[in-house]
This record gives sequence, C-alpha cells and structure tokens, in this order.
Amino acid sequence: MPPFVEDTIVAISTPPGIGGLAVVRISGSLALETINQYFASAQKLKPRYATFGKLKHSSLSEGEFDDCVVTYFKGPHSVTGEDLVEISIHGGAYLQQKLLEVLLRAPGLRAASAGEFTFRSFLSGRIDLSRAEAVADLIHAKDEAAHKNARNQLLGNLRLLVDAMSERLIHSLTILEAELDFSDQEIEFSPPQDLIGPLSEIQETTNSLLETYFYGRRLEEGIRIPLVGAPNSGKSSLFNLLLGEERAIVTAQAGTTRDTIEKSIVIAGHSIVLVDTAGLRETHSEAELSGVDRSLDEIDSADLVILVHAPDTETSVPDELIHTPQITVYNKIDLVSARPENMDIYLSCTTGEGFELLKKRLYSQVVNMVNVGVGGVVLSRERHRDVFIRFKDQITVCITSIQNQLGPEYIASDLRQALDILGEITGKTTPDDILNQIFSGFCVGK
Amino acid sequence: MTVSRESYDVIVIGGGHAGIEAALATSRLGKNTLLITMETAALGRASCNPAIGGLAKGHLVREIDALGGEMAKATDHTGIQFKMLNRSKGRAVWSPRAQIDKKAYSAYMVNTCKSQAGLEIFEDEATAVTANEAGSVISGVLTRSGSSFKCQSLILTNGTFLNGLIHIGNKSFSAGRIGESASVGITESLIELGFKTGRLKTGTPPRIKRDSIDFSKTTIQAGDKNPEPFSFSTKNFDPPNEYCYITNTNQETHRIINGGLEFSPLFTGVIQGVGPRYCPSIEDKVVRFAEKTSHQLFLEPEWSNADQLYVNGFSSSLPEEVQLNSLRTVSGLENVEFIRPGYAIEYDFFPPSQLKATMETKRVKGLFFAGQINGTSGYEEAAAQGLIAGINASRSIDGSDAFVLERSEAYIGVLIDDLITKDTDEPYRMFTSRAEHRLLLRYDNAHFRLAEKGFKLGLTGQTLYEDVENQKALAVKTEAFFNSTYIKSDVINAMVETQATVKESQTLANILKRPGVSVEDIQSLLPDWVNDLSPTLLTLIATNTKYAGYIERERLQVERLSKHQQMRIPDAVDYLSMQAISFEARQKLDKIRPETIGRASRISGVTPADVSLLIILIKKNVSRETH
Repeated sequence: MPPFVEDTIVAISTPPGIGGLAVVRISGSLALETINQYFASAQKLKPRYATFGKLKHSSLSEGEFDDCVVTYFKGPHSVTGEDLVEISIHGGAYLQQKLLEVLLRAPGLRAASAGEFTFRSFLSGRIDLSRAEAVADLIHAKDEAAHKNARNQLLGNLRLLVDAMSERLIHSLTILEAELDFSDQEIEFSPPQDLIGPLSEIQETTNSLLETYFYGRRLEEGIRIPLVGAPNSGKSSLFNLLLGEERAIVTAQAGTTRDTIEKSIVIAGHSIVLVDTAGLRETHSEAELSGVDRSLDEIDSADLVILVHAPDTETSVPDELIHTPQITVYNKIDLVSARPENMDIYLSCTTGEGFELLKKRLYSQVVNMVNVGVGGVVLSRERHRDVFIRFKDQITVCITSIQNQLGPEYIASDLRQALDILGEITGKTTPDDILNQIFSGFCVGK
Repeated sequence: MTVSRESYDVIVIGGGHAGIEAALATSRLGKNTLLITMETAALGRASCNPAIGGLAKGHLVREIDALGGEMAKATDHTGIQFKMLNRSKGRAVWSPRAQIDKKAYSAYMVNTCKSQAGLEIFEDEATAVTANEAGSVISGVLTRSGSSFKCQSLILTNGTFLNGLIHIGNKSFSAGRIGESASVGITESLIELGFKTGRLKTGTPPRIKRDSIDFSKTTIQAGDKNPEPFSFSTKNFDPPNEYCYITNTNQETHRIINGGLEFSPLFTGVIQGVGPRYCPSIEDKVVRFAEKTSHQLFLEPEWSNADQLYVNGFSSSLPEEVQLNSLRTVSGLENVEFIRPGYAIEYDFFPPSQLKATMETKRVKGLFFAGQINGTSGYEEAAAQGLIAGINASRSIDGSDAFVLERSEAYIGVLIDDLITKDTDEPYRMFTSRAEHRLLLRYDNAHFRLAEKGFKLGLTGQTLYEDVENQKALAVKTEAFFNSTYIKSDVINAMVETQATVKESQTLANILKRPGVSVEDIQSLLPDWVNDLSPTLLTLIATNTKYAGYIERERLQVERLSKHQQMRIPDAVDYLSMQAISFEARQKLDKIRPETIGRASRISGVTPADVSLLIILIKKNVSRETH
C-alpha cells in the first residue's frame, strides 16, 4: 500500500474475468470532478441516485461506453466515507480495462492498492469496529499474497529491473545533492546537463517496458486462445483433445449464461485459456445470434485464434480476425482425400494425425508471444503500468528542467518525485540512502 | 556564589549552545531557572570550529532567531566574516555562514545569561539526577560540592562531557574538552533509571600560531562585501571582514600520516565510539580516499586579529609529532608551531529514540535532553534542540500543549523528527537533503514561517513579529501584482533578447518564470513601490513567484499527507503481540515506540501495510478500553 496520502483512487470492483456487468469505483476528493469530465447525461449527478448516460471523452472511441449507470455517493455518506462514484458498464475484460486505463490518466487519480477501499471504509467508520480483525486479516492476506507474488519470476524480474533503475536515478540525484550539501568543499561536480544521457536511457527502458504491458496482462490472466469455426467443424473435439493431452488443468469454468466454454491449460509453462466458441454462421434466430456475438467478442479479446475449417463446412473469416495472430487448421482429414491449400495444419481428431504438429506450432507461437519484454520483464499489473506512465512523465519533467537550466535544487526536487513514484513498487528512497551514496562516493568533510 | 533557593522550576545542566538557548527560553517564559555549569566563563564556548551557520545549519540559526532564540543575534554581534554559501544556486539552498570571534561570542552569551531576569547561574558539576521512587518523575540534581536542588523540569545538555575521554596518539585521558574535566555520575544515574546509552566520537584539529605561518603561500579567502545578518532584528549591519586562508596537503603530507597510522587510536581500535562520516579526520580521509593527492585546508582565525588559527580540514587524533611533521609539509606551514594538537574525544550519548518530540524523555516525566547528549553534532543543531527543550519544559509546567514543529514547517522539525524516529549510529548533522520539503523551508522565509509561532509562545518580540507581518503583507500584495499585471508582447520581446519571442501579452509572473530571467532583469517594468522594497524582500517575492509551480507541488504533497499522520499511538500499546504486523516492523516499533502514526510510518522497515494494520489494531484497542 502506498504511503498515507489522501489521493483519489480508482479500481475495478467486480471480480476479474469476463462478466456481463462491471463496476469501476472512484473514491476521494476528485471523484465527482473526474466523472463530470467523462459522463454525459440528461440529468445531473445527484447524491445516492443512479443516473443513466454515456461516457464521452477524446480518449474514448465513439459509442464504446454508451450504456452506463453512474451512481454518486457524497462523502461521508459512502462506503469509504469519501466522495465515491460507481460506474457500471456493460462489457468484458477489455472494456473494463480500457475504462480503468482512461480514468488513471485523469489528473490526480491513481490505482488503488490491495485492500485500500476496505481500509478507507474502516477509517471512516463505515465498517464496524467489531470487524477490525477481519479487515486486518484481509490487508495482511493481501500483503502476504503480494509478497508471494513478488517471488514469482515475473514480478521478481520486474523488481530487479526497478531496483536497477532506482539505483541509476539515485546516482544522478546523489550528484546534485552532493553539490547542494557540500558545495563549500573542493569536489568537482559534473554539470546537470550530464544527467540528460542517463535519464534518457531510463526513459527508453520505461517506454519499452510499457510496451510489454499487453503481453504481461495475458501472462497474468492466461493467454486467450479461442477455437473459432463454422458449426460442426470439430472445434469441440479438438478442444477436448487439447485438454486431454494436457493434464495440468488449473481451473475449469463452464459458461452458464453463454455458450462458450473455457478451460485453462499450461503450454510452455504459461497459462493458456482455451475457449470453445459457438459456431459462426449467418442466422436469424435470436438465441443463435447472441451466441455468434459472443464468439466475435471472444475473437476481439483473443491473443491467438485457432481457426478450424473442415470439409463440407463454410467458414467465413470474420473481419475481427484481421489483426489477431491465428493458426488455421483443416480438420477431419480422415474423411476426405483432397486438401485445400494454405492451411497451417492438417488434422484428424480421430486418428490424431497432425496433432503433434499443431502442438509444436502452438508451443512456438506461445513462446514467441511471451518472449518479449525488457530483459525478461513484462508489465502485468495495471497498478504497475500506472506507476510507469507517471514515472515516464516525471522523467520528461526532469529532462526539461535540466534543459531549462533550473537550479540543482529544483532538478533534485523533480528527481525525488520520480524516485517517489518508482518507490510505489520497490519502497521509498530515504535521504539516508542518498547521504550514504555521497559519503561513499565523495571525500567530504573538513 | 551561594544557593539562593533550593527549588527551581527548571534546572539546565550545561552552558553550551543547547544549554544557553534552553535556559534563556525557560527564564524568558517566566520560569525560575538555574543553569549549572562547571565554569561560567565557558558559557557559549565554541569547542571546535570558529564558525556558525553553513549549509543547512544556517537555516537552523535563522529558525532559532524567528522563534526568539539567541544564537543569530550573538553571531551578528561577534562575527568577523560573513558569507552566503550556495549563492550560485537557488534561494532554497542559500545558507549563511559566519566566522565568529570565539572569545567575544562566549562573552556575549555570558553577559546575556547574567543579565537575564529569572536566570541564575551556579558553578558546580552535576553528578546525578534524582527522581521519585518509581523513577517516573524527575525531582532534581545532586552536585559535586554536595548541593541538592529540586526542580519540576530538568534539561540535560552535557555535550561531550559525560565520561569524556580524549585521545592524542596512544595517550588517552579523561576530559570534557581540552583543559576541562569530564563529567562523571550523570550517565550512571540515568542508566539506573533505565536509560540506554552508547559511545560516540568526534574530533578537532590543531590550533596553530599565526606568526609561524607564511601567508604568502596561501590563498586569501574573504567574506561577502555586503553581507546579510542572521537575525531579523539586526539593523545597520556592518561587520568586519577578516580573512581566512586556504592551503593544501600533498603526497608527502599523506606519506607521513600513513606512517603514523600505527599510533592512531582510530586505526588501532582504541577508539570504540562511532565518528561522523561528514567530518572525518585527516587520517581517515587519507586512507579512505587514497587516490586523492591533496586535501584542502582552511586556516581560520579563532577571534579578531587572533594569534591562534584553527586548521579546518585537519581534524586528527594522531600523535602530536605526526600531526606536526605532516602539517610542516604543507605550503605556508613549513615552520608551523602548535598552540595545541588536534585530538579525538569519546563521550556518552543517549539514543534519542528514548525521547518524545518535545525533547522530554519517554521514561521520566520532566526530564529533557538536548544537544550532543542526543547524538547530534554541531552548535546549531544543539541550540535548536535546547530551544525546543526549553519551550516544552516550560509548557509542561504550565500544563500547556506540546510545541512540536512538523517536518514541513522547519528544519528544526526535520531534525527532531529524524532524531526520535531513527536510532542514529553516528553523530547526526543537518543537511538540506534531509528535508523532503526543502523548497518550502528556505533560509530567507524562516521568519515568515515561524515568527508568529514564536510570538504566540511568548519568546519572539513584538517588534520583530510586527515587522515580519508587515513584510508578509507586502509580499502578498507584490505577488498578486506580479500575477495580475500584463506586459505587452512587443515590450517583452524588445527587452529580453535572448529569449524566444512571445505573441501575446504576459503577466509579470510569467515573465519571471522564464528560464534565466531574474527580478533584476525586469526592473524597468516595475513601479517604484516595488523597486523600493528591500532587496532581500524583493528577492524572496521573486523566488516565490518564479518557482511557484515547485512550491505549490510541495505544498500539495504536505496537504496530501493523511490526517492519520497525526493520530496518536497510546503509550502502552503492545506491539509484540500484533501478529498481523511483520516481525521486523513489530520489533522496530517496540524499540522506538513512536508517538504518532506519522512517525511510525517513517521508521525504516515499517511498510505502509504495517502502518495500516497498526491503525486498525489501535482503533480496535482504544474502542475496547472505552467501552
């Protein structure tokens, strides 16, 4: 949890995954001001009333968030005791994520850390003192979980990278601080202009790191691979074959309200969410239409699509697939002698022919997909991404200050700010850290 | 001197920089005060360098002045060279420094203390503190001569005297300073009351004879031509500007020092106490930075036209002949003669985590510590603590609220907060980098920040306070004028040629904010009433305007700090049983026992999650107790 600051925080408050309805909450003094910049409605927001409208903003595509309900709770009459806004939207993971990302760019907002909403509820007295123990357990558990996560390779590597970046920043700051605190001594200080090089390098690393976010999220949530094709192209057989082959089933989740089924498997050490979708075809039946819609949604949020073709079926390639990597599979080859050209894999689920090839192909695609990142580090958490975006902006401020030839105390202030932002991941840099560097690096003292 | 009364409101032990400020504060606040010192003439004696102020320390002196302390005035009266450090940088880190006449400085303080109503001075050595039977409330002091005094508040400012042990080469002897006895007994009586103690070390360089120096081989260093005084109340400031001299060590100097290391108590392990890294001895510098072929030395007069100079940069505990032989290799010092050699001194201190922010000990009510006894170094750090201890010793007798400065309000706030939340393992010195709100805490706005507080306390004089309020009002008016007065673009473009041209008219504030533009550059655009402001005030206003963005950012950071920072932690809280909090944090919290959540959050090893848990558990416990 970040230090005790009365920031306005934002988080998705519905459980992760693809749900029909998602709620994003903003809590803090900037909640109302922020939502008013995004929310367009016939009515003004009124405390304790749900208001229907749409989210409009230059950073949102037209029509993306047309049906929203925003409920405003004026502090202290809210669950956190602060001004609180709940935004209910329709849509899956993609839209929730998109909204969160947009809101995090609003000035003054930051991502809530684990347990922070609950903690604020507690502080405001909205959670009964008798439940204090439960709240403590929750925060303790989340903190433990975060520590456990920190041991996983993904986050562990991130930490190493952030530590290295902090170290370089501290080094830059040390030069400035030594000049401020020991200028009465005979030390040769390099001009602040010399810091532009190292700062630009840090900025480039940050940029590369931010670009890994998409993959990072996938690694975290599981790489989504839907099987798409016309009805009866053998998707379900292939689905079962892939599942049967892989014993490492992590979770099993059957679609209850939708006719897609997803299961998690592990390929090349990475979590994969395999999705069996409804067959794609032109239809006028209401029920079937909604199934097709969901399949298209799946394609939208897919990382890789297995497009299944088969004899005697017509699989039209949906427009949504243009930018998604895909493996084309021609199924049921045991039934025909002629094979169409330009397919990646020719397969029979019955005889197993081609299955090894498909697995190899899947394996290499997945490995390629995750083999990005900066020195094996990918960003996988929205909170981390939020930190790095703010960090990058702050480094830009530092460089501008140096270019404008501001005094070292102002550049130092900018650098300290950057370190504080980075410190949300690794912990704070204290003045003693800086002084230790000065004492070990410079001969100071009369 | 005879003892006129045996009971006092406040007793201060020690007449150094901490003791003086403490005793003056309590007596000025109407408390019957007794200052016990081993030697009245030694009041305000500068044991080490003949200088007050310097980077970050100058800020402290200004703050002491704003709160009604004495150090700034004494410096203005007895300074013989004044210099503003960091002048090439921004105002936030400018810091005034003065060479003082040590004899005059001490005489000024003796005189001030002697003429202070309500303050008595008693020459004796305090040998024990006394408390009630439970050891929870202070009751008084015993002295070497057999006197016994009672008091409600006792302030200990013993400096380096507690079991002081001087080292010169392989000779060691008991002393508080060279030529003055150590103080024995106080430490032992404090240990008996349950206090933890430790040893620290500091050092001082040789003093040399003026007529043994060839000044033609040194570089002259003078002060500023038109210096600014430290005190807001000093008028018509026209101090002397006496010279210091710079010379350098060389490889031959270092060779001799290296040859003498086997007799250095620092390297043979005789000295156990930890010394300050920012004030290393010359032997330390030569060993640790072996690649440096030369170190600068400053020869500073100890008083006006002194026949005795202080060799700044050559602190040492090497044997006298090694000090002398190595110094004689230095240019200008070929025939140098010692008045006395440098030495190291080890002394007892009490880890300051045993204190509250008022400087009162957590363990014994009415007992306050200030200065080197808390592990700090420096005259200015000592004086600041003495002042705060004096203020609170007096207020605790009145039953008034504690007087605590926040980290965002003053360097004094940073100093004390650092002391009580960290367990220092080396003598603590103030640096500007310790202040996270550095841009708010400028030396030039110290009075704007603190004079009102000092006035309300009853220490800062009415005239000074009113002067400050008038200047504040002028500053507000001028800043508003800068923000609301537009200048046409053609005027701007014609004036500041080196800058990119502007298309529209701009406020004066925006012109000032452009890189490289100072208030002097825009004088022709300003009306007489602005140009007629004192240069000091005008520069302060211009700084506020030019860096308004930075100042606002720091102000917002202060504002964002949660109100829970102020939440008090009950004294009796049982950290070790708080299983939800990490083990490391529990141990640290139990050791330091912070008074507020804010301080808990600043203890190293205590994470934000630990602090959240602490808040929850405290709220729960408090509610259980009150039901």
